[in-house]
Amino acid sequence: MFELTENTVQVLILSACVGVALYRSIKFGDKTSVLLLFFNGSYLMGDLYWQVCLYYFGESPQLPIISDLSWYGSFMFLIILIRTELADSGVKKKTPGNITKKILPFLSFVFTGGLAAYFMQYGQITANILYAIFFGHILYTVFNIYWNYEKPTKRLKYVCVLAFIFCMGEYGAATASCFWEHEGITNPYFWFDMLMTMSFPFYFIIPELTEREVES
Amino acid sequence: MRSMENIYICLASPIVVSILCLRREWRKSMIFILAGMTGYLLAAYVTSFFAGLIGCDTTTTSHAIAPVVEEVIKFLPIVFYLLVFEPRRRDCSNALLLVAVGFATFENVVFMTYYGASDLIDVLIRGFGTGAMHELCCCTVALGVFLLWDHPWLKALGTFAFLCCAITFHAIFNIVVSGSTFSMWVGSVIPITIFGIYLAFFHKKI
Repeated sequence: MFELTENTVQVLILSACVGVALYRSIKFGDKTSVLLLFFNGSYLMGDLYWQVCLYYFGESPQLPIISDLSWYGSFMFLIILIRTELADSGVKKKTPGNITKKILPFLSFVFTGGLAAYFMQYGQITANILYAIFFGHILYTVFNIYWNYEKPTKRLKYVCVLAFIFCMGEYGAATASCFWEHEGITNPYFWFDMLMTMSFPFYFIIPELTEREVES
Repeated sequence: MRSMENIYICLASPIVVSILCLRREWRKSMIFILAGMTGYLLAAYVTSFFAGLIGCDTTTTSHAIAPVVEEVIKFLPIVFYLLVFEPRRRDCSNALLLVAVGFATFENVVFMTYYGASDLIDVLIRGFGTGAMHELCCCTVALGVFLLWDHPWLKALGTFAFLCCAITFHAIFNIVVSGSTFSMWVGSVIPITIFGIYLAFFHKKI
């Protein structure tokens, strides 16, 4: 019951985000809004597929490949969003860069790879490897922008912070589910999942930031 | 499976004849429709192969394996067209839609052969629903191609991401239309509505 409520909250928040993104895509037709539409939409469809399976078959999907594909799609849209923001901001790489700072972002792959190796004992080897690659890439891009680019814009920093919170929410929830199995508000899984869910609406401040920058 | 092949031959024959007779642009359109139909036949074989390999029942196959295989196979002729002929954006969009039309047409004919076509309303809803769903999935992929094809580093990642979206939408559609009659109606109306929104607001922008 608790899981159902939590999933419903996530679906409702994501649906609202998809609605706003759709409105913005129709009104402004900018690439950020379209990418946000698909980032939220893809994550929402992964959740919906799970819920539809529960409703129609009374059990979670036997092959979770479809939900996983949908969530991979969402992570890819987030990577594209960060890369697009980076390209549009016109921020350049530091030259000559600090070698230590150039190497440090690669530790993201060590972090995600290590956790993937830990999660593999619970099964789903391929899915865990793919999750490690996608989240490793997101975290690598975030840290690379912070350490190796000259004065990232406010908008770019904001996108990076949100992407970092998203990753921490996902990994926190996944790690917590390995240690705490009970349902309820005392389970850290719930808080991490909510942290991730609550990060979705904040992406809509990105276009607002541009409008403010243009006005000022 | 044998009857499906017979249906394919029956449907494809006039198209093959028309391909031999028609001129350039018209011929291209017919080739894409034929590619869509051939894709459906191929998808049926590949889906059966994976279902046997994994050991899935019919229900799981229809909502977990078939959408992945069908969307990937539907996109293959376009990948070939994009890489070999380097078409204009508009041509690519039309090609995607025509492949979807061929695919959906053959799927509807096979569906009617197996489940009958006595109830006109059901067939009408199912026909429009399936058609809208397949074309919407192709439009989603087309959106990816148009939005992201300019940047070389986005080619693989972006197209795969949009393909994932299309696969999930297809899977949800398959589950919902496999339920009761009311569920089939709801499942069919959703893609029609979304396709209507797409035509009204996004189609002209592309």
